[in-house]
Amino acid sequence: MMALKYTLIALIKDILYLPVWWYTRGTVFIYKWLVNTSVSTWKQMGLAVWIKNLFVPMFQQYDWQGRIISFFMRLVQIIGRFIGFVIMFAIYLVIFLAWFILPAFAVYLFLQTTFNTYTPLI
Amino acid sequence: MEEKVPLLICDKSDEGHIRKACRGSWMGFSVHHHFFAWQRDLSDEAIKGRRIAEIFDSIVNFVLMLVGVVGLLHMGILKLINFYVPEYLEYVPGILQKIYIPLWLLIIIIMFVMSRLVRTALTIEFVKKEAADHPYDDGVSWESVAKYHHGAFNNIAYAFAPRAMVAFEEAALKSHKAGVEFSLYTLFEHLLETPDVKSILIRFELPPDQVVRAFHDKFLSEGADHAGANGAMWQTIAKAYLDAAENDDPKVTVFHLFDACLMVDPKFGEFFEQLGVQPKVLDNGVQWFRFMNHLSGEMRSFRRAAFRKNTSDTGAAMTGLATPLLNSIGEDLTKAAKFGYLPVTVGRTSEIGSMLRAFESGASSVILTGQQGVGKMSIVEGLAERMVTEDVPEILKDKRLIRVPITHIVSGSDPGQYQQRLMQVMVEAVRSGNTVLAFEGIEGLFGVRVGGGTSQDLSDTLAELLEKTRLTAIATTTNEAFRTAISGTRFGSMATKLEVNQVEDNDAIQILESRVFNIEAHHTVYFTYRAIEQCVTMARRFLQDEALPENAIKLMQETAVYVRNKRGANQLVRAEDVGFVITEKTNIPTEAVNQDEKDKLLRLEDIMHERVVGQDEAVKAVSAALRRARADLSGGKRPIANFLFLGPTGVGKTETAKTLAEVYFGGEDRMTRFDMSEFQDAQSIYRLIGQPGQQGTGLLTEAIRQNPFTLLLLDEFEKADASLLNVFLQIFDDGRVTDSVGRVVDFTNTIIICTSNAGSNYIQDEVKAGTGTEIIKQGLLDQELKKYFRPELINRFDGVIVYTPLNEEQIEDIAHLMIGGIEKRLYEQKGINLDVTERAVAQLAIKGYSPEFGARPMRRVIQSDIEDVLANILLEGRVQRNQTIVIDVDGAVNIE
Repeated sequence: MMALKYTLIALIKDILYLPVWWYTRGTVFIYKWLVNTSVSTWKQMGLAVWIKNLFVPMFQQYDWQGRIISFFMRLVQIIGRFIGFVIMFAIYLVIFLAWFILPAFAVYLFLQTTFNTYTPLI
Repeated sequence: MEEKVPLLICDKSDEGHIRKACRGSWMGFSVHHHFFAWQRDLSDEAIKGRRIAEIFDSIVNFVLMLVGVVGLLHMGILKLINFYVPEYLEYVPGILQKIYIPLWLLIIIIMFVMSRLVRTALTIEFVKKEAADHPYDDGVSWESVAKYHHGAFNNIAYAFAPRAMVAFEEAALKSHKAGVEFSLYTLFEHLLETPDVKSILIRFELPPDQVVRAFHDKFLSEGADHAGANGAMWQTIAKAYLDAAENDDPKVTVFHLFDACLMVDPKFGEFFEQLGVQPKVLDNGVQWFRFMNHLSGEMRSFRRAAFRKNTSDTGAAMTGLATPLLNSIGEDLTKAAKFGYLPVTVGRTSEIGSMLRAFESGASSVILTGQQGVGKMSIVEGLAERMVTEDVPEILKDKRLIRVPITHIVSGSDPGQYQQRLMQVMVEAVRSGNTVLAFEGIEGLFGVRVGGGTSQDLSDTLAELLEKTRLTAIATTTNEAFRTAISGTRFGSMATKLEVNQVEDNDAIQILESRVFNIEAHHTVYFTYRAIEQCVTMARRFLQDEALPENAIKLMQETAVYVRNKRGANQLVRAEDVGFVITEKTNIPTEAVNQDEKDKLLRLEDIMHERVVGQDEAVKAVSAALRRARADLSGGKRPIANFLFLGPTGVGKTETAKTLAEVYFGGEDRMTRFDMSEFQDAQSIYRLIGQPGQQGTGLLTEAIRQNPFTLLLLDEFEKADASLLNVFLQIFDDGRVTDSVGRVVDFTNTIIICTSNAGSNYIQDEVKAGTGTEIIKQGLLDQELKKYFRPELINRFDGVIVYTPLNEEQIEDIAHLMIGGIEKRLYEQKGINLDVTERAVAQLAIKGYSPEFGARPMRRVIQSDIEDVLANILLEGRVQRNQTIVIDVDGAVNIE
């Protein structure tokens, strides 16, 4: 009896609970994931360190030529790294948004296949 | 942790009201308005149901995942074929074209699997720190918590590590099966059978099966009293949880449970005591495993944090410059730490903390001083680990820590070269802009002159460069080197000095525990807990050239090799093995190290009487005083014992000392002897503890440093200068003295015997008058000794022992002993027997007796009357092997 309760009944409960979970705790989960992954990517890119050192010459070249070259090199680096970050962030954001759209999309497909003559294959 | 946690236990027998109030909890406790409860059904059905559900769930997840993936692939492939090569579609079997899972269903299936996986991952909860930080709320009831918390309890069951949970549930199942109440005893019995606890038992040389059987017989046999054992079991669960919270362990492990059982019921401790493991020792062993568990958790988070550390020469933002020379002569500690090549730094948080504070408060260089082996470099390595996780002040962030052994700088033949190399290193470090240097053994730079005569010292070059560049640097050196070479120099005054002290025994044990698994894996032997403990105790007692923990680590390694070579792989290293290695290293006899001191002390009188004739009272007094001194709970902070032997010459004072050295330290030669008549002026103190600033010049301090396990005999003590007696006053009291270069010399493993002829005449007169020894002693203490010693010095002695003059009978016994010695030597060396008749011995005794000089003339008499005669016979060749020389009265000689 207990085994049944823990298996089949739990499974049915799970299925019924899915939409609720998806838009409540599930949303909290995917939001946290978005924040954590973005922060981690930001750190990985080392952007903060590069911005902090914007006016510090690279490779200890403290002469004026070194400073100028470094400044522009750093600028390029920062822009490059920032673009990299933005791309990654955009991907994360797409996943995040997909989370919201996915159930609605499934329902839309369901309605379309059931009530229209549209066939998904061929 | 000792007091009981006020628990609410749900009364399951009352099906109605209370059970509802418990809201599915079995037990709960309230801490600072948070309610912690066990909310996992422990009925047979539930446990089994959950097990089936676990399997069922993973099968469901697997199948759904498979369906999802295959469905998507199927659909994708068909679409691709249809789009690019529709003519091939006819080759695809019709059934595969007709039967497919619609996309919307696939999406829902994938969502469903995802939600299940995420939810499982999210239910993993950790212990809540606040459970340990606050006092318990007393006097709560199920009704009140239900009202207040609305059933939103912290379920502590989630904080149990899988292995601990399995053990706990298994124990519950077992007791249900046996039809007994689930109690602390069934839980503990089952814990004993878990692999985790078994591994602890093995470390105590306890065979796990036998322990379980003994436990069962004692606690779970028929008719055992188990009143309240169910409550005690819940108490254990609560304790284990709180204990984990207190120690910041994320999960409750089997070790926490085991530990909590021992805490809750003292009977378990007694049980182990009967098996020969003291509760304190057992606790240390459990702590060892818990500590290792904790450490591996910390290592995991360290590796996660280390992942991001940039260890290239130029740093994360390429501010730095490559340092080819530094890389070739130094070692990048941050890189080594990042990739896990450094041993874990255990403890040392206070030292690392004060180093960081010094840097934060503006110091650019810090010098760590401490005895050889005290762990200066491991503090530097600990800093490297902190730098990897960037858990450091701003000045050290995004920097590299490079270890530069001074020997690599001052190698070669030309001091000019040294300076050039040092400057190159410094310039490179400064130019790189992100380098922190750690100079190991900085004293090597001091006293090295670049040119001849009064030219600049190499250390001044370093100091100047450091001052000018404000480069962050750490240096290490020994205490002596700092005092003799560095203190007062330019570098010495600019660097912040941090003293590193020898670790306490317990910390040393922890450090060894953290290293032991590596050593075990390398040599495939296993250390018992006692062996590890012994390594620390023995290293501290006998290997004083280096400090803890280094000497103990080396000893542990040597013992591992010793056992591996002697007994082969997969053997236990026991405490005795450590003793054997100590004997091989130091020549201190094994039995002196390993044998039970108690046994030796109890038989002391008998052993001493084999060599010392008469002096019953003195022998008894020495033995008693030694026993008293050892039973005293001075905690090893004094010498083993100090005695003052009083009495005329030749009555056995030195002989007693020699015997004690043999009995206690395993050989007559383990005696260090000083004639204090050579130390009669105040200046002689320098000969005793060394000339100021000159290392190794103190006769006494050097002797004890090299040979700490010894008997120290100070002859004619009363003749020493009064200022010397003050030094001894301290040695007697603290068991230590500081020598002229500041090293602390340890006297706690010595027996100190001072002999004195002071009051000899008084003793002789009184003995002649027939006064008892006690009265003579009192007389000496009250009057005679006061002329020579201050009362506080006399009070420091564990015993003042009075030796009375020998009588003729005793002299005869001594003659027997001496002749016996000659007989033995003659037979061993030449194979010739010697027989001195009784009458001859009696005659010798009369001849050799002098009430004034005791047994001293005896030796001369035996020399002239026996040894000379023997020498003549041997030289003349009158005697062959196996013949017997018989010596009778008046020197009559017969050869048989």
